[in-house]
Amino acid sequence: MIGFISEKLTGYLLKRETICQEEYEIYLFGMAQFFRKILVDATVVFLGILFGKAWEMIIFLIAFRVIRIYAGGYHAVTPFGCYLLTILMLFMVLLSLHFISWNLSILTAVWIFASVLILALAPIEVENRPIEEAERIYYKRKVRVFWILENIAILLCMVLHLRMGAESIVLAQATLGMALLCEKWIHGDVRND
Amino acid sequence: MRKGVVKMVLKKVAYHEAEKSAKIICGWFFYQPKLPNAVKKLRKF
Repeated sequence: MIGFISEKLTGYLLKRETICQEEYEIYLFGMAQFFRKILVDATVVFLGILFGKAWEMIIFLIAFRVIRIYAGGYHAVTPFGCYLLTILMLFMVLLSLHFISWNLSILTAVWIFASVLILALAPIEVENRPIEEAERIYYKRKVRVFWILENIAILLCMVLHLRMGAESIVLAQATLGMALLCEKWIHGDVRND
Repeated sequence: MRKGVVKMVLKKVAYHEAEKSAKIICGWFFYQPKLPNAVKKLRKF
């Protein structure tokens, strides 16, 4: 469906001579990526609203994405598989937020566990996105910068008694850590194969 | 006029997304499509 809409819109741009034939591939790819992102983001916010945890989900989404884009980790084989996995993951996050009593000990334990995984494993390349050595260094630096910024945000949330914010960011880091661990466990690092 | 604006916005958004995808490892939550050759060229390392 998204592929169809993207093809139609990119075809329209080409027909109207807004883009040229050589650029078609770039715009088609970008258009599809944009619509997929919109779909996933809308699902996150929708589920958040449905379960009365919209702010938690928005914070989770931002905290997860800023590191995920540079860290890599587990990926589904198809876009539909990704979407199903995303929904499953969001349910697990919502259940964790609802049923776990996030006292300081649990929060700290999950936080440390997630941080160790992120710092030890990221970035992990995937089959569809191999990375060169220069990129690996660049991504590692980016992951660490955003990890530090998120940790500052977690501490600020705790000081300001915004527990919900701290829980959402820690859960985002934990989910990312698990995605990295899964990729390493299932496929290994493509570079080292 | 309005159609022109829509076309320009679509063009800008699509290019921006393609360029961003070339610079990152994962575009969304759990899927990363293979980058087309034209998009790979947008990588600046």
